[in-house]
Amino acid sequence: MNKLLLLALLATFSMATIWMAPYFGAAEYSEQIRTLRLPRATLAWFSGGSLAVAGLLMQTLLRNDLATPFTLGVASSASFGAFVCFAFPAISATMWAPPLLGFICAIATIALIIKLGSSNLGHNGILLVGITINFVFGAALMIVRHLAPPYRMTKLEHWLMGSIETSSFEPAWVVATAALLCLAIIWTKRHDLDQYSFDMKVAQARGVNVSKLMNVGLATSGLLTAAVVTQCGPIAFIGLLVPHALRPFIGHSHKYMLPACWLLGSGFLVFADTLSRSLLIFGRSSDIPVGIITALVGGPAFLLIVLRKSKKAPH
Amino acid sequence: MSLRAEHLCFAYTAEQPILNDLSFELQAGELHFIVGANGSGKSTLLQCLAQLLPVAPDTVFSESRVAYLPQTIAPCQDFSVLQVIELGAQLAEGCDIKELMGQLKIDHLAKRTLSQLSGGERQRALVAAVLAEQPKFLLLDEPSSSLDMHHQVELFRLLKTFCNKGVGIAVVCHDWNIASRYADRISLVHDNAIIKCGNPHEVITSENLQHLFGRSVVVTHSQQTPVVMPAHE
Repeated sequence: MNKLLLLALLATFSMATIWMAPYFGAAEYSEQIRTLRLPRATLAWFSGGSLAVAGLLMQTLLRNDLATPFTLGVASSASFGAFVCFAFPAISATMWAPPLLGFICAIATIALIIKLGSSNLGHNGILLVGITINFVFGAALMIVRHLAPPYRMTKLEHWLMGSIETSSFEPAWVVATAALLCLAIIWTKRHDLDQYSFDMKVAQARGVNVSKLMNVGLATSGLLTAAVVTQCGPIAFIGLLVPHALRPFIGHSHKYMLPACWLLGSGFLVFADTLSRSLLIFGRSSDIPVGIITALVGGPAFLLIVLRKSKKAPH
Repeated sequence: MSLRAEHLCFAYTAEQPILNDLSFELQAGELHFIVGANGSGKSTLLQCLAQLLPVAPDTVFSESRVAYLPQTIAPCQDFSVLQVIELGAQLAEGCDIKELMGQLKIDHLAKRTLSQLSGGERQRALVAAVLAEQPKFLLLDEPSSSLDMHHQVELFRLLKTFCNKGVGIAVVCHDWNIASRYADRISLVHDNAIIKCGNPHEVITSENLQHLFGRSVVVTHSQQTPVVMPAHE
């Protein structure tokens, strides 16, 4: 299929989801749509796009199909920072405290990974560092859960499953600002990413500053992830699923993959969020955290992609 | 115009120098073979010339675009032949991809991915990708290692046509007879330095080869070209 046609289709899907999601299930326009559903759909749109692009960057930079925005531990460190504030209200004097502390933890993690990455660790070394950071912050998170007041647990659990519940536009603007900044930066590196994904040495010979590209890419991916996680909690599978779903149709050119990932990721998360708030279980609105829906829908879809790919692979 | 290395030194560790006070020149329009034993530093020399390794300033001089093809390529995704060549062509204006694919006889493979190709087809696709860069100097690390004789001959004939257009090509190769047939000049790498450089007649002698490998080698001549074969023990 023509790449531009596919991009147009994805843009239609993405814009249709954000256009229709606030009105889905509503008989007529109401204050609830403007104050609750529109901010929620906007946050979902920017978050889904950010996670998909972050996943694409991680898979390209680490040259690993299994890399996701959460691979390097940025998400768990951001989760930890935000979680501490949620668990202990005394720390979070303002509504900005959870995202701020989450960002600080995420940026410290990104800085650590870049520092270690520049010391000839190689891709596997960086992955191992990321997995270690994941475990350490996972354990720290467990400690906070253990110590948190029991009456805070419901909200904390809900947030930990990935949830886009908001009643204002502010979280959406936080993610949008980070996303626009990161996209502007990474768009200038799209040709370098193409060369890099082919072969590192060849890319270097073709004038790509590989270490700079790695640092910029990791920082951008980390910031995108941190912005989403601090606002919505960890939302699974989008960063892994979306690039894999698009590659067979788009190929490897980041000129097309970056916008395509953004469009499919944003549309998919708005769709999943609409599904999560619309599902009726035992006749009642369930409002399942969107992270569960993305994993439930994304898991089998990813499995199908992998099986399809393995059928095509030479034996 | 040339690509030069002067008094080039390189070591991965201080105790083990790979290149020591080495000088090398690749002239425009020549096919220059770099030969030597395994581990003698041939690939390292190519990487220094391509400025992929940190070398001291004022040791490598290049006046124009240099393209480099390593011994092994590790794409993180499965690229198609056309995509690989397009990546190379991104760096040059006016590259006729179709013509290039025709010259390398890979035009029927355009949509096949690298993992679906035989070793020889894959190698030809990769050579096409670096030729698509339209470089003035081309550094190829064992480009014919997985090619049969027919495709080796095709490849070096094609490289010769690019040399005739003014491209300087340096090739690391272990096939002495191919080097003998197609090289304009041959550099012999031994003990971290180039011990001999000249035309095939000057370099491919039984004395040089015995010095290089420590075993008897017979050098005969066929069609005024040196032919190398191992001596009976």
